[in-house]
Amino acid sequence: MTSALLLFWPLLIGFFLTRALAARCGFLLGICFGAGLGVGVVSCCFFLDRETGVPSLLFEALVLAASMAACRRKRQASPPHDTIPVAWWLMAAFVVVVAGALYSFQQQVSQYRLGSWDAWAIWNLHARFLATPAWRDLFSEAIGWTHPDYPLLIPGFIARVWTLQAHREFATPAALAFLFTFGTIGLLGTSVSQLRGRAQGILAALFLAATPYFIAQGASEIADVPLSFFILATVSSLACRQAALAGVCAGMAAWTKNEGLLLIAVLLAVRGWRKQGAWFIAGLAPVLAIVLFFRFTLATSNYYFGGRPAGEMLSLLTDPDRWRVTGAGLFRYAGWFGGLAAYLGLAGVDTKTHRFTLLTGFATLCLVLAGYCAVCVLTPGDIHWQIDTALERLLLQLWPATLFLAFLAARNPWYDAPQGNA
Amino acid sequence: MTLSGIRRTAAAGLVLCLAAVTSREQLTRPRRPAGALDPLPLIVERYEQLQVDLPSRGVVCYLSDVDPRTEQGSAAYYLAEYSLAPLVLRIGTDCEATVGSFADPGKAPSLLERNGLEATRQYDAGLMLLRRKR
Repeated sequence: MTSALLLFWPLLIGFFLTRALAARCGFLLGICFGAGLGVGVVSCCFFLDRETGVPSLLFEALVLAASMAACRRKRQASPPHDTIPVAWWLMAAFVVVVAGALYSFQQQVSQYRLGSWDAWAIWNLHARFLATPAWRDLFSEAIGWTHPDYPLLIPGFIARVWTLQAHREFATPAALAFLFTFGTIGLLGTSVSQLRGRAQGILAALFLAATPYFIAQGASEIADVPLSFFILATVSSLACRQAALAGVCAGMAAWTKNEGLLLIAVLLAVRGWRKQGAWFIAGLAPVLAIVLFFRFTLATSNYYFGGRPAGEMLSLLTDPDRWRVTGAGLFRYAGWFGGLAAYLGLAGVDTKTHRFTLLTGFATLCLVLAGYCAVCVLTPGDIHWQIDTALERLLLQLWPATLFLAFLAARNPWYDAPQGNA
Repeated sequence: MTLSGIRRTAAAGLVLCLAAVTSREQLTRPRRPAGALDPLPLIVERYEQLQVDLPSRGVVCYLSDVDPRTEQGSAAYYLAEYSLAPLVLRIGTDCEATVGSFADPGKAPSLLERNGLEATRQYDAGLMLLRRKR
């Protein structure tokens, strides 16, 4: 209960920060963005607290006050409401799927109170260190197996709540997992709704809630679903031409998992030269500064790249057998994409209305996926084990953003959806 | 029915099938048997007994009769680290204090003898606090 209550504070910070960066963002969309963004802000503030000794609350209050002040100055009308009614059967299907997802999530977190292996051996273990004055001991070589180079968004937030609670509740990571799992579904639904109408938004959210692997991974309390939230948030805010907000979200992706750095590099390569590039970098810079400070001053060497000769990595990268194994893994785990392709085949697609967004969005996701495959090929361990344990989760990170772009392009077979709120 | 009507009906059918199939999967996924407890929180609670006798931070060693290179052994070691964090547990016996975790407490005396250790305190379920023999 306390954990749930403590989630309102980051929600408040995140909501106002979203409204400050994206003045035309609707109320619901602001809540969905704010849920994840607020957690990220609180986590960054807590890290600054640990590093500088200045109380986290002071940094958080400053961000909130600045965001509220910016909101007052920049207030603009929200986009017009979509008044076309949603078919009862679609609404009923959505409610049934979300209810099933909620039940499944609740069952999993109550049966596995510490979360999955990676949750307690990595993310929640890091939080246990961060919540104490001995937090720097996390970077001890003796426990290098816990991947101390992983960024601190998730453990930082959990540790912040634990320091307020004065004890380490198992419910806190579970509440955070709930927020990101259902926050991602909400963010997908509301962001598609803003651009393509409510019915299309509900369809997109239904497809995500109907991905059992997404719910299971969300409930397992690891960082892949939170990362998928920030990748979706970045892609959708770029689609709404909110480059500063996209920059903050991309920074938060890098503060969640190392894969976020790849996303930033790809985004800068694909879109960096555009007019809004300066706004993107302005939003990105403060969070990226924290990520880079962490990487260069605290984080230990990376499992994939640390201390390996370039020649060895080059020979792995040019080994066709390793690429074949990775390609086969992609086909094995990409089953959910089949259902989406079947739907798009029936509904049809319109690539003209959001042409630039679709082109750059899909290019970004494809390049990030290529990067993920290259990392699998480069793994210093057994590649089959790597594919079996990591590839499906890597695909999942890109799934909500893929659904966003797909439903931006999909024709709505039942309605003439309003277009062009972007 | 026109071609667009057929496509519309098929798309609706696909969405409804998806909803039905996934909801069924979510509701019927295998669960832990009723009454069966999650063992991990119990293990964490077990280790919490040691906290009063250990320093609040620093490095202590970890010794077990289960090889930490096996999946079972590494899980036991990782759980011990999780439970005792922010204390750093290092596999070995050359620290001032060593946490002993024995799945089979009968194996403890020979293992202690071989490593030149003695128990300073014993807890439930095969847990011991150890130090070097003086």
